[in-house]
Amino acid sequence: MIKQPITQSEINNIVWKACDTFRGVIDPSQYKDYILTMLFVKYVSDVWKDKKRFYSEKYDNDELRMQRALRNERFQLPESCTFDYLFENRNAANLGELINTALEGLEDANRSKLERVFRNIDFNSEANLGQTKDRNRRLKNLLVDFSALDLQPSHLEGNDVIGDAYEYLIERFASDAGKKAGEFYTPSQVSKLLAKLMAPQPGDRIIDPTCGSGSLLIKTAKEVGSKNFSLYGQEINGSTWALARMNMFLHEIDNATIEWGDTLNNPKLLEGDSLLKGNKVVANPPFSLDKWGVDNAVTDQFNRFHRGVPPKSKGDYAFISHMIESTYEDVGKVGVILPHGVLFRGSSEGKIRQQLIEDNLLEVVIGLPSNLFFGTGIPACILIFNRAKGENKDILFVDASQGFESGKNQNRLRDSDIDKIISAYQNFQQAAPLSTEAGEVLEEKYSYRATLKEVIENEYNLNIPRYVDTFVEEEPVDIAATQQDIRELKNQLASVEQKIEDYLKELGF
Amino acid sequence: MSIIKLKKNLYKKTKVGDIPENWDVRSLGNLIVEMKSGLSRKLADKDLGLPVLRSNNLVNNEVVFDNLLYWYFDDPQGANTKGYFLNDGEILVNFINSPAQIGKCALFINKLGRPIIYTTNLLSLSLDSEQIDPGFFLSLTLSSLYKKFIQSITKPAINQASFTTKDFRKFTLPLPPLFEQKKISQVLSAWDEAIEKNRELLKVYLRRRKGLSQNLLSGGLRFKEFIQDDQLIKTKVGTLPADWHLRSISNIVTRVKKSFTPEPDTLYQEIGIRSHAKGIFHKEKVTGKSLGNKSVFWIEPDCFVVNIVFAWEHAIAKTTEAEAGMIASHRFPMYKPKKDLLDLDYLLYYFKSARGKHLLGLASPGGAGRNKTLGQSDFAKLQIPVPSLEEQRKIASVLSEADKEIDLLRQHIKTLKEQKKGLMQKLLTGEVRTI
Repeated sequence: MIKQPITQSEINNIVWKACDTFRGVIDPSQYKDYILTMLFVKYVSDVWKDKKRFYSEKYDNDELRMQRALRNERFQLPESCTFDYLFENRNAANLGELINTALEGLEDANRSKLERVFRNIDFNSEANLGQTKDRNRRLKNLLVDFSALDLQPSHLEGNDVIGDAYEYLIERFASDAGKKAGEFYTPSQVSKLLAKLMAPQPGDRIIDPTCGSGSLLIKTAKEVGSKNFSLYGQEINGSTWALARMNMFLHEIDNATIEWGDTLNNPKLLEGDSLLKGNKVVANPPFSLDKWGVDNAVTDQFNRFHRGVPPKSKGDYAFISHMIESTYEDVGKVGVILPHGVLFRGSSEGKIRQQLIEDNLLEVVIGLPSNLFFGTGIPACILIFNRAKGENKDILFVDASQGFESGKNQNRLRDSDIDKIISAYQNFQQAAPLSTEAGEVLEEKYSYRATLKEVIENEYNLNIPRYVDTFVEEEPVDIAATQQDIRELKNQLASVEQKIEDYLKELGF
Repeated sequence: MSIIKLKKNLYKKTKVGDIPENWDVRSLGNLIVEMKSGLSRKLADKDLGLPVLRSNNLVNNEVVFDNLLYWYFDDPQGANTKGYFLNDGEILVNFINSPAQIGKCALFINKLGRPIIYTTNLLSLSLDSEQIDPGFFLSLTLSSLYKKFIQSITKPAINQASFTTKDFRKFTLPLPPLFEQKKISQVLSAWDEAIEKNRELLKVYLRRRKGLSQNLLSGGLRFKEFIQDDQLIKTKVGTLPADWHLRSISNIVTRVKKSFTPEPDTLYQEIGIRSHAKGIFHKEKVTGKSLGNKSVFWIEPDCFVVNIVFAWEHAIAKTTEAEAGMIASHRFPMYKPKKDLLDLDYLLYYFKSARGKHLLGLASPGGAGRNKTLGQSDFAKLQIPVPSLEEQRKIASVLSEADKEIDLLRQHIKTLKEQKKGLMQKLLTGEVRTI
């Protein structure tokens, strides 16, 4: 009998349920790493099991040939590192230690892929998982919950199912615990929008210098439409970096380069002595990062801040500068999500902004709805810088702040909202540059094609309402009709007031 | 109808005070046919089938059908929702709420034409119509007798003060004969009607005021004597008459900035500006010492003044002689209209309009509600339509008369309410008789 393939939502439900073991007792920002790591181990183990069965049938149980074939697999799994082994030992008194050892073994057997990936996780941690008895119970529950999940490729609809389940979990954790667990997680619809705006092409090199768990990179890669792309990411937080690595493998993007470190102070994505350059550079950096490293910026060895050094308490333009310097001359494109302040703040930021506009790099400004992000209600915007603007000096402004559906805690971009933004961008790109001094309203209260002249008149202030007029005219009042109403009411009042006077007289006042 | 002539001015002493001899003293319990609290559910703002009335639907003894919440016709938890359907003439009593709200009542009349239920914070009350008139009872719930009683039975809690139905039944009330109750409630309802009509009138006044502002400030309506060119031109701030000018704020006002160093022991009085264009208020006097390092300025009368932190929320006003000698911080820039160019009231009315508010918002960048500060150089660059000084004055005086009219009507409504209250005190105790 052929087993029914397991669907995305079934997997999502099982893994989300597995979190019940921890929920309420341990902070999601702690236990999410355990759940996600276990999901990875389960996936690698099930793929291994699947392959083993396949080869044993193929080579008619010839152990030697089987082993030889398995050696060419993506991941090598010693017996004591498999999920099944751990599950068999689920009642062991030193379960945490067993899992740790299994992870070490897994890393050792796959050094090129998994080096340091499990360094930040400790299944034997009393601080995170409780004292021995509680810890063992929790870990056992975790193994039991995951044992219900069959992730063998022959049992799945497609390979992306696992990767998407992983994404699903990361997003759920982010929404469950707000900023704490979500850090600066970009909601999937926002990533999708940015990915589509970037319109990556086959052969593109895609970079995310603040990649988090890698979702935005993966979403952008998916837009290529083939496997012909290369991904590069850097992430500052060790645990999140590990998640990003696992996330890539789960999406079968094995050759992605994900580095661990602080992009601004210690860029790790390099080519020789200079910054690695790409076709599409995307990011959702931390908003207005304080103490981002202004001291190093002045003498930056990569000369990233030649347009000016951003203020020490707001790193937004430091990320923008880094991203622009990470693009290929003449073809590269930057898509970045930032708070609205980058559009209008003055002093050093104003100067950098002016320079970017004068260099004809800024192509699009998009205002997003408020409350899209986990843990913060502030509205963000997307800026697109394009080195291939050519003769076109116009800038597209989109006020997409009203296009969303309201959710329980967060607002959410619908696919239709995304499509609308994308088509505004595409239409802008396809139209000829304006030859007039004044800009052009593309869609009332939504999009505006601004000329450089106008931007200069506005002193390089990009605040969206200056370009997209969102003033809602009041409903016109029919003054003649109000006069009529007033006359009628006054007539009625006259008779009521007469009645009152009569009553009062009757009552002796 | 035969009118029974009774001997007036014969009173008896009772525990509810001196009341006419032929009135009864009864407890509410004896007058109630049925009393029942509503359904406790987590309501939705989507129409699931049944509108559910809550405490905030009880306003001035009436049920208002605004901001409704809903529940399912077939209760998922198995309750029979039909048992909670309200009938016309029933009285809703709020018995769980903040101490200020608790006890308020309203007469239910179904204006939606569909079944309606009510939440667990309300009681529905069917009164014995042979004995007590619902209108009379409602009037009584506004009396101090009732309010004192409710206070005495309420178990306090911040927002969940409540009383029991058992206690509520004990309410002791003076009860005139039914026909007299009806007469009392009929008399009082004349005042209710007058108040209601005046409220409607106020709404129309406000609507007309808005229409006048829209038209006068955009040149949509003009006094003939000012028209030199009746062409209209399209501008960034809407369509305007061709003989009006768009002028930058910086060209029509002068910034007033009289700074000084406060003496430590002298008393100073700061001003504040209410949001939503509600005018200036005066803060408590403080010593110069307590102002600390704050940079402060003298108030100059007859200026346009704005609180830059809340400009987007319409914190704008004009200074008058009443503020002379007061002070304000650097967050309250003042602007004096240039003589021969700009009328202060016109300027204020312009910024009070929807378009003016929008402009203030434009000059106050920032995404979040807070942190939206008016940029003073951006403000100076705003352009507004400026007719001739005479026309500005005429526009301002029309709007100002309309404002006065609205104020007077508000006072009139207040007076009517006061009058009704006084009348109730006399009628509900029988001090003045309606028969």
